Amino acid sequence: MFKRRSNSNTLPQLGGLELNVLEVLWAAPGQGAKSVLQQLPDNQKPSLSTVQSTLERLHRKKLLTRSKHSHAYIYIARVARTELLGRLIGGVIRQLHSGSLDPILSSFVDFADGMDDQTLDRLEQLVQQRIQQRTEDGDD
Amino acid sequence: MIELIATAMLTELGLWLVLGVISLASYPMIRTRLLRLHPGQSSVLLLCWLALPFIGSLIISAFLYWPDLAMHLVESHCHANSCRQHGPSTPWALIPAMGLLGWVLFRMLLGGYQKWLPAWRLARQLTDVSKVRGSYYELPTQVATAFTMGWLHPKIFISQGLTEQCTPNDITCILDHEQGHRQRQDNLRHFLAWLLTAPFLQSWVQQVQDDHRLACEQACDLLACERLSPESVAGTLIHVARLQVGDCPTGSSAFANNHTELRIRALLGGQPERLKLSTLTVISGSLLLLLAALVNPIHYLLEWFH
Repeated sequence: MFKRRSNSNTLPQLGGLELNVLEVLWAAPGQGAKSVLQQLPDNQKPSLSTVQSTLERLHRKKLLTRSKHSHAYIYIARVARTELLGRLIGGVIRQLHSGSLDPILSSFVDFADGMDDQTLDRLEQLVQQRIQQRTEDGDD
Repeated sequence: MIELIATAMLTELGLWLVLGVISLASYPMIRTRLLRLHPGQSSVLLLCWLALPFIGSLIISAFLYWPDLAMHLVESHCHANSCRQHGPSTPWALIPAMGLLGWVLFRMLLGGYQKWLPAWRLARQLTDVSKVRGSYYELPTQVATAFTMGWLHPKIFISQGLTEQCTPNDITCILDHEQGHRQRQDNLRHFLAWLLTAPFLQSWVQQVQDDHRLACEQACDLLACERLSPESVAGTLIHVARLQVGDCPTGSSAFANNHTELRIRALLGGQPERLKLSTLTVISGSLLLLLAALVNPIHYLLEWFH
């Protein structure tokens, strides 16, 4: 009845700051908290301790590896950007198919329609007939 | 005082459930007529139909328990030599009232936890990973998809795969359609439709909710027709549906409906009719009178139980 949170999509839950930190590490792997903080967007500059907590969280979610250099940790992303985004979008598409996003979303064409090529061919014929009829009525 | 509040709560919730069952059972009688109307109008009327049990129960409860209103609709009578205006009250209402309230809140909280919270989190993630392209967000995926997500500040998402495989005309059609969802606040309407029917079993309300969704989609198709011909909009629907046929994962299927086919046929079927304002006024007035007429018998019915 009460689903585990991670069942709702294929990724661990990622916030905006976590994604920004990952973007920094994808662009330049092997950085510590201070250098990650410097490279975050100007409009999103949290404190150093917040960045450290975020890196720790991402490490616990197994999205980063780390090694100790003197007194600080250096972090590298474990998952490539394309793979992570692919999993996120894949999760969205799966949920679009299952209809579980229906409460918050309106699709242009509903995946749940499950139309086949034969039906689409038939409908396309109807459209063409209508266009032809319009043209003939216009000529008249 | 507690007796009165508990009875009022029980009355309101009980009426909501009873009127809800009646409205859902009688929906097939009006369905065909409703779906023939202009979708802009039918989507509003469908939402009103779903809201009717809740609004109706509030109105009746207000007339029962607000003395200034009750004096006009409830026949004057006395209890134990006291003849002042009163709402029905019974000492055994507390437990059933708590039970009903618990059920309604449970259904709402369960829906919120299972449906809304994960969807809201996902919407935030999608915004973070997508690129802004003018009036929409471009999703970095080759799967062909376009949708509007969110309630109060809905955002339009179109996938890279779709923009690469569509003509400029198609993109115009898709954007106009999705802008229609934004302007009409359709996702918020779906949320209201869900909220108003939360206490009822999903299987009972699915048809009405599905018809409401279809009407909203058709209304946005007609908005897209302001710049393009109906045949052009129908052609875009077919084109996008074809692209999605290949992208459908094996075995995945929700409640399979035929909305796309219905939408295409509606586009080719010409201008739908609209109900006149006078007709709507007569219907609304009749419903209000019916609700008012129920107040007196419900008052006596509740007192008979006591």
